[in-house]
Amino acid sequence: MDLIQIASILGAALAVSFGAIGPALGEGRAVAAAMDAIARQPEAANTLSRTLFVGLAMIETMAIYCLVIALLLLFANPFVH
Amino acid sequence: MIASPLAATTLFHLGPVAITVPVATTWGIMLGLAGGSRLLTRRLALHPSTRQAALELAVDAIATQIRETMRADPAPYLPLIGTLFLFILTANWSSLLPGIEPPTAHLETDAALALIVFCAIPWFGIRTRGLRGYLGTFAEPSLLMVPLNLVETLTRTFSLLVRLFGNVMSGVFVIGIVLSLVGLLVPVPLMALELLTGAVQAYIFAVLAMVFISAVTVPPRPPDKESKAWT
Amino acid sequence: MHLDWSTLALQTVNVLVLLWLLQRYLFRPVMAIIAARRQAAETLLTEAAQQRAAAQATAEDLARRAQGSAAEAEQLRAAAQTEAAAERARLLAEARAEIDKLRADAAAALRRDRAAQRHALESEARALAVTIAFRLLSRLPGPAATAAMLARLDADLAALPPEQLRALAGPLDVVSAAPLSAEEQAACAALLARRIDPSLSLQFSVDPALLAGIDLRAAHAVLRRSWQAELDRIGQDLTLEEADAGPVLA
Repeated sequence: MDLIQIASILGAALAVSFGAIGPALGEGRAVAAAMDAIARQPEAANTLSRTLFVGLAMIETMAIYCLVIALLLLFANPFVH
Repeated sequence: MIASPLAATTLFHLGPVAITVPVATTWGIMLGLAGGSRLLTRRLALHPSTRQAALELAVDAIATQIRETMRADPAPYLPLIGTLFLFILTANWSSLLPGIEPPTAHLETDAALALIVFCAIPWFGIRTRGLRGYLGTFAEPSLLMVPLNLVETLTRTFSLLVRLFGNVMSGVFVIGIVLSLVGLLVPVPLMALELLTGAVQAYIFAVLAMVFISAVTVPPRPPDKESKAWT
Repeated sequence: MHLDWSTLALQTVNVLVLLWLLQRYLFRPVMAIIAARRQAAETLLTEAAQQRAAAQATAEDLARRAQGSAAEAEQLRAAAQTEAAAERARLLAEARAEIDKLRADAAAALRRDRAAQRHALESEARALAVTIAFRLLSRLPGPAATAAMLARLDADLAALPPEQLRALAGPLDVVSAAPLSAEEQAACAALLARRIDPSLSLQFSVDPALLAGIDLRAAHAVLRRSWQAELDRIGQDLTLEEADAGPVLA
């Protein structure tokens, strides 16, 4: 196994692992804030949960980007022939 | 080695065109959706049966979501948004059937959906505000934002495509890995999670399409906090 | 990164076809039926509102009519009351007038009766009184009375106006209650001659009905100085007085 493949696998693992940290923290904060808001204003729960879902998907997208990068590195690496 | 999730296997060739598995699955989904709706809407009456009431409830729920998100009459947007939501939901949940891989787990299907949204945005914008009004939306906060907005139209389409693809494909991928490791019962919670993810992603795709479209159809308002934030 | 362009194109077409199919078979009919139902509900509501408005108008009309009839009844009642009051007043007035008339009639009748009674009683009393006086006077001694009578006759003749004295001239009949003695006749003739005419021819006669005193009866005049005449005069005076005081007593 040559160096490029080793680097690609390492890069993919690093991308997924570190790329998951930030979105995880962000999602936690977002859900906490949404819970707080729903507790304060239960009548706005519908709008809040809709916005929360969309926001979570936005945050999650960052992690997904990392996953796509990792998959590209693993399966569609342009440097591996 | 697991097969690359980025490549689709070719089933057969129809002349020069290669028919891949996602295309065939999509045809199946189309058949099911169109046939089912044809069957359900065959006998509509003013006094609804239980089935008709449920169908109307579902369609009305979509229309209500469109009305609340876009703050406009849902009639012109309902076919597009409803079709996107129903198709993505059905495609995501088609992985419940054994041996079927969701078409949305393949880049081409998501790209096609994102392309349709990408084309629908100027179409609706020009239809409601005219060509000049639509082009004016690029310079909306100020003229300096024009290049940024131009880039944004591309990146948001790309993010739409990658978000759906990544979510569904990762779910399929993880289930495949777990299946190859344990096989029995253990993938079930993951599949349930995939159902939730599939529904949420279908919803989010539809909501984002609505938000992108309403950003060019609704006249600009100063305290508009929703449409600009999500890009 | 590999992107299968033919698959992309096929999927795009697929999704567009699906969009058309769903619009054709799902969204359009469902939205149409929802709109139709909403339209029906709207029509129903409009009709209900119209009917309610019509019912309200009818109710108002009825209420107004009832009010009108009540007012009319009130008016009729007031008119009837006024009429009744007028009738009652008229009847009362009539009754009162009749009562007054009756009372006045009764009072007049009473007064008349009383007056007649009194009149009868008084005439009776007068007759009684005259009778009593008559009997009383018939017992008086003649000569004394005659002397007093002559004195009074003398005084009366002196007070008479001359034309009446002239009417007494001529043949004169001296009537007395009792036959006059010779001295009395002489005194009387002297008195008459002095007062009336010295060449007077006298004739003396007796009439017991005179009670006392002397009546001078000429051809065209009578000078009554007898008690009978006095009594007659007094009775007439009493009758006149009674007639004057009559209404006061009634």
